[in-house]
Amino acid sequence: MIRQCNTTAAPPADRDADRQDLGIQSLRSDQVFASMPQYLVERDASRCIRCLVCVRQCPYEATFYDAQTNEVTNRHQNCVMCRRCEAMCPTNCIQIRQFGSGFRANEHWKEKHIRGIYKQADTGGVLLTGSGNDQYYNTYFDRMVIDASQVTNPSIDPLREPMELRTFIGRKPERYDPAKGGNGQAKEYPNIACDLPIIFAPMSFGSISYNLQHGLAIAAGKLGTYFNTGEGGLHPNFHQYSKRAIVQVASGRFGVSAEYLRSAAAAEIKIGQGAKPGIGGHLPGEKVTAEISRTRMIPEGSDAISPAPQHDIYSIEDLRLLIYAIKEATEYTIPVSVKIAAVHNVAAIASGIVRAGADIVVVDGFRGGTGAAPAIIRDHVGIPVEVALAAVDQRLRDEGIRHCASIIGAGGFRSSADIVKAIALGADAVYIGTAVLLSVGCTLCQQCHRGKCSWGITTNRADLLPRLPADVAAERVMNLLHAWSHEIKEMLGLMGLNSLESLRGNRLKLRAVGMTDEEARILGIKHAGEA
Amino acid sequence: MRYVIVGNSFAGTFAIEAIRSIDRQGEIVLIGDEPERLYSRAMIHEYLAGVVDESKMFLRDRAFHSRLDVTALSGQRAEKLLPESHEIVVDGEKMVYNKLLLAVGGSPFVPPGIEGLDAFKDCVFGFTRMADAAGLSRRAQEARRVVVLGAGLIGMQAAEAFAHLGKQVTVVELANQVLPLATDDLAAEMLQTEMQEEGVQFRTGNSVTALLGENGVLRAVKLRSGEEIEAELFVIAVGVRPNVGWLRDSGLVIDRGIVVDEHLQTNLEDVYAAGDCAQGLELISGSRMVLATIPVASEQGLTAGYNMAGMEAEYRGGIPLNALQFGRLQMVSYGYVREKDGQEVVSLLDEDKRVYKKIVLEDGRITGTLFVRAIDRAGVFRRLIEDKVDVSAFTSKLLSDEFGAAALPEEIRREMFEKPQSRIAVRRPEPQEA
Amino acid sequence: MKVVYAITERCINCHLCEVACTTEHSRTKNPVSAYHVEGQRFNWRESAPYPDPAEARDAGRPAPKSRCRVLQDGYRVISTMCRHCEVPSCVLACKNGSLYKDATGRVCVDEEKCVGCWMCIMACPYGVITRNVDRQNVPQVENNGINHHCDLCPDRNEPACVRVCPTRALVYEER
Repeated sequence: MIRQCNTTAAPPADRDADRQDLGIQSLRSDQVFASMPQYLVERDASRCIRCLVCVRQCPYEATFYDAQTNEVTNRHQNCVMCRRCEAMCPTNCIQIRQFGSGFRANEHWKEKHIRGIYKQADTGGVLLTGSGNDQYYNTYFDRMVIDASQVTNPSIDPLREPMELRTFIGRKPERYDPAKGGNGQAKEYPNIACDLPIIFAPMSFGSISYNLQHGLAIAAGKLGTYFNTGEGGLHPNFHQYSKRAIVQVASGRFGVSAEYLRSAAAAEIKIGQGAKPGIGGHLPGEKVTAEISRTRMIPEGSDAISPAPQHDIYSIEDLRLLIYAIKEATEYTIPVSVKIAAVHNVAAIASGIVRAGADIVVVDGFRGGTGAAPAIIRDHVGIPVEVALAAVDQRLRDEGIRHCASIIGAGGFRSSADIVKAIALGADAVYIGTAVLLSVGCTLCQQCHRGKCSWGITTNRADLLPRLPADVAAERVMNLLHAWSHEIKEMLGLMGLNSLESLRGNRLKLRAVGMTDEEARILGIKHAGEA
Repeated sequence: MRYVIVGNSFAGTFAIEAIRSIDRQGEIVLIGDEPERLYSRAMIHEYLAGVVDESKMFLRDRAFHSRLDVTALSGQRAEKLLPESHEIVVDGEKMVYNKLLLAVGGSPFVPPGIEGLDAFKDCVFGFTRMADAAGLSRRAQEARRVVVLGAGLIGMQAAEAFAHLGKQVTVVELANQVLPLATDDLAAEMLQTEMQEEGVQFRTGNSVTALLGENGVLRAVKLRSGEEIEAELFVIAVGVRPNVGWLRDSGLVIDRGIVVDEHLQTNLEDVYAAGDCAQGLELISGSRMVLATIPVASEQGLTAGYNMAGMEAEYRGGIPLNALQFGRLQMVSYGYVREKDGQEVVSLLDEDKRVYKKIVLEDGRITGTLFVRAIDRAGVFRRLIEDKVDVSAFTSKLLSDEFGAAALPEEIRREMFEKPQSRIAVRRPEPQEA
Repeated sequence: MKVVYAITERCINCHLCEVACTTEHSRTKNPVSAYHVEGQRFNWRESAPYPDPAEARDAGRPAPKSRCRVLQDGYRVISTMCRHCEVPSCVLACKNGSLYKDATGRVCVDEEKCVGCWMCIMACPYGVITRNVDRQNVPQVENNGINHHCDLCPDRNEPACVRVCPTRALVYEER
């Protein structure tokens, strides 16, 4: 009899429990297809020392120990390739591989389609997933290159000249009138100062762990940037960090109160999200622990599904009302941001939002991550952030209102090069989400929605939380952003620039490689080789 | 400053170390009535059985006393205490003390009413000294059969040693079970069975009335039941009594042993007592008792030494405790393992693995613990008993193999593993350099 | 003196501290050979992994030995090892003086002299001493062994368990 030997004595109720019969695999005839494993946990028997570290680390019940035969065994169909066991094994005797060669080669019917249909035929349900769009679409960042200085416009040496990465997010004044003296401004608007053009993307407490949000709050303070509460509200223990918090007002209005708004650095109205444009947020009941229940003010264990539209916003005028309601409540001391998903007419929407009074527009591209979303929506709805940024920046300039709002790009920035290109396309700053998760150990296994993240990143289960301590998270994130700041400075220098302002919207610094004329025109960039 | 320590065993040794950790200059005189180098009384049975060599017998290395600057007078006996003049009489000579520690231990109790003890005195032995073991070892060469009176720890150890030497051994015990103070019926039965498998025979509920033989050579031992058991050696092991006979007219308050307070001080100024001769606080009952065990003796000696040298240290009290192995069976017990009326018992008996665990509780606090086999981490129960921890919230976990620090209340666990630890709180004054 | 302190909230029950301890105290300092081969020529299927060597030996299965032990109660997990007490209970209980405190303050055992009487196990109120049954100084006693407890990795600057803990739940410091 195989004895289950998992991490805890009593893990919380698991909706997958029905499928976890031990012993003979659950070979109900209608589940044969879905039980075909996708991944193989390959163990080098000569190196396995039966330390059972892998057994204790796997929350997906893919690894077991049989005391009688002294064997570590696997239920391969439960493996999700999170690679936690690989990482923790002291003798590196585990490799997670694809199970067999998958299905017979078929350029039309991919494994994903086939398995998706199997699962839906089993369950009749909508397939959920986590992380960002993993399908093949052009990534325009990979078709753009950065122009460097050579002789006529020399580079600046970032080790010897100061590089200004600081940027101010918010509405800028209309004109500068020297006669007015002082700043010469007609009117000032609240801005938030950001020491580098990178802000932590909205990731709610609930979608990510308490420790990670804590780590981000700490890192934001030390780096001089901000974190975003996401839909889940601000945990009472984090009120001490509220001055570095951008608090979100989403359709579920979780945790929103006047105090919540007044204590923050900025407020953000979430209209949409790049991973699931047009629909609301999902927090499956498995992830609603006592703490989250308290913060979001919803019952423990209940699914938290935010409605798609904000039910009091059905027009731009409604949006304007909400924006000004927030401004009134905060006495115009903080900028108000509006976040939209990048969709086909994003430029027009952004224009409307700016005219409605938003100080910041966040454009979230389709590569953006999520804690839980229907896979079909995540993979097929929305447009790339690169084109969205270019379109929005150009439209606002054309309409003469570019100064009225900062643009923040979001959705799958993978490196400092992506960030530099995004700024050149028109962003004032970027949100990073997935990159932050990767910095603390994420392997993009896309199981965030199940609340069992083996790395302690997207779960709040008491036994899994300690896997990512807040101080470790803060340290690693700060390391990443230090590294990227350094790289951005190098890239600015090589472009002959010493300040982000000179890069913002500066399409001349980019060249296209392998793009169609249409794509290059939309992005507003010349092709490589053109002067 | 002269420290005089009477008694060269555990209590005396730790007292010396405690004094020297504070006072490197004061004179220390150690008086011991045994001629041998400092040895462990608890190793005698293994020495007799021939399973250990000498190197494992000695409590400290050869240079111990000289290294710690101790004048060791061995083979000398303290005869009288003169507290008014702060003097002690050793082999007829007076010696002045500034601080005195009485660590004189105990001697075997010889029960009255056994005929022939004098007549066959060369064949009769106690079992508490190296000399006993040496004497027994010589006589054992000609002897085939041995009777041991008393199935306490010492008696059982003697019996097992003889069994190892290939002798026929019979143990006679007054109570109806072996180890009556340390075990309950079931554990005693398990132990007795184990010993019987080694060839030891038992007569419980019985006692010895007479020794029989000719010309000073023992031939047989007669029991109260009338049975005669043939034997050439007779070992008396019915318990030790504190060696306080010589102190009874000194003015010391003596009950069964020398009564001491939490600083191991007696009623006489500058006179301390520790070890098997001392009667200190027993935590479970709250009364003063002689607890003749090594941990108690060591701790009392150490604490006495600290106090004698001027550092105030508190001995908060001891509990009965035993760790033993007979045959294949290991056992650890704490406190009082025979439950009384009104006490709760949780226990488990695993007959396949031959594991027996028993815990006696009163008002949610553990007053007795007995483990046969499965002794790992048993010491946690020592803490639970001594600290009088309320275990009602986790009584069901006590018997689990996994029971340990993780199951304890948070404050206790944090105290144990997040702060520096010490059996006795030590606050030393600056040691005086030579 | 520095000893290893455990932070319960950070422990993830991975037991890598035990693996590291066993590996460090092996001859080869390699986890595979420390667990598989060293001094133990046996059919791997007959061995037991759980670091209780005495129980394993009782069952006829030799096993690797760790000086620290992870204990779990529901969600609470803690790795436990010798506290190297200022005044150690075990030294006060040792039957023949094999346990002592060395010049650095570590509680050490004279492995030649220890006779496996288990007074130390009885006396230690932290429950951090186990039986090392691979060494039998009194072979006539069945299942004899010697004292086995944390030695603070004398060959390392920092104990192996501290080095390997993935969440910094073990720290080596003076408090």
